[in-house]
Amino acid sequence: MSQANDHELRQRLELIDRMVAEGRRGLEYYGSFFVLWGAGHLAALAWQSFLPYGNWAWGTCMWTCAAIAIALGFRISRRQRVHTRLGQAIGGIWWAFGGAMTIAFIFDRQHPIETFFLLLGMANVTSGLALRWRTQIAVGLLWWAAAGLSLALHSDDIQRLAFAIMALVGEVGFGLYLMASERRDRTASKVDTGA
Amino acid sequence: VPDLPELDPVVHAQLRLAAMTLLNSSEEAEFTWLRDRLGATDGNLSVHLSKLEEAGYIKVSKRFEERKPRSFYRLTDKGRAAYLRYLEALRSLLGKDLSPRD
Repeated sequence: MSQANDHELRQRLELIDRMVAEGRRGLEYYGSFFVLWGAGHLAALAWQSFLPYGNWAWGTCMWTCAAIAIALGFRISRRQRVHTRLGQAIGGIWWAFGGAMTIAFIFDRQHPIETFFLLLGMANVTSGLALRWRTQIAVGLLWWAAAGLSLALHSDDIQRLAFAIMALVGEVGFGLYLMASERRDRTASKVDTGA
Repeated sequence: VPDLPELDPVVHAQLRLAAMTLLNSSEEAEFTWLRDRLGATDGNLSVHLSKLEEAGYIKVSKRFEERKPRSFYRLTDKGRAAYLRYLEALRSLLGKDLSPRD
């Protein structure tokens, strides 16, 4: 073909950049998972603190959340319209987090809350770095700060307070933000490809 | 005069280049997802995807999901190689053009 002019070539380069960014938006946000687990953690905390049969609280709430999350995951993956390598990598991080957390939940009797904070911080920071997404990195750093605070102070009350705040901010709040972002992206203006 | 690399005309069209860029970052993508991301009409996108398919650059697989027929597209090895060659040629051309100003 005859060689395109400089302007046209630059247009193509810009188009490629925009499409690479657009492809990244193809990832499902899974905001509902954060809301689900945040609500589960808050429910377990409230049950353990204020209701009878408190020693049943965590087991009941966590296994219920796990069952709902698995069902929700299958439903979302069936409706998924794009499968990206980045999406698979991010999914892998969260499956690995789930596996590690299940082991910690069953066997870690010494620092289960701190382990949870650290692992959740790690999963959020890793996802945020892979997606180059500062908001999620910041959420991960908050989880690590909560872990540091819990490990340093060794106080059950402070630990519970930190957990309640983080479940509210780092899970429910972040999940709602993700769901709002997903809705906004769905209605976002089309990309100009000259089509 | 040094040889300038040729730009593959199949890849060079805007909509086809955009579609190939999206497919390059995906394992596979469904038709309506591509259409929404590209802001194209069904007809226009179909024509361009057919050209890519004819060139052997993409492969389509059709399957039913939730009782609806869906078309999923993915880049073939030939298509990925053509896309990477195109990027290389584009960089090379822009590099040559940019060099006097550097």
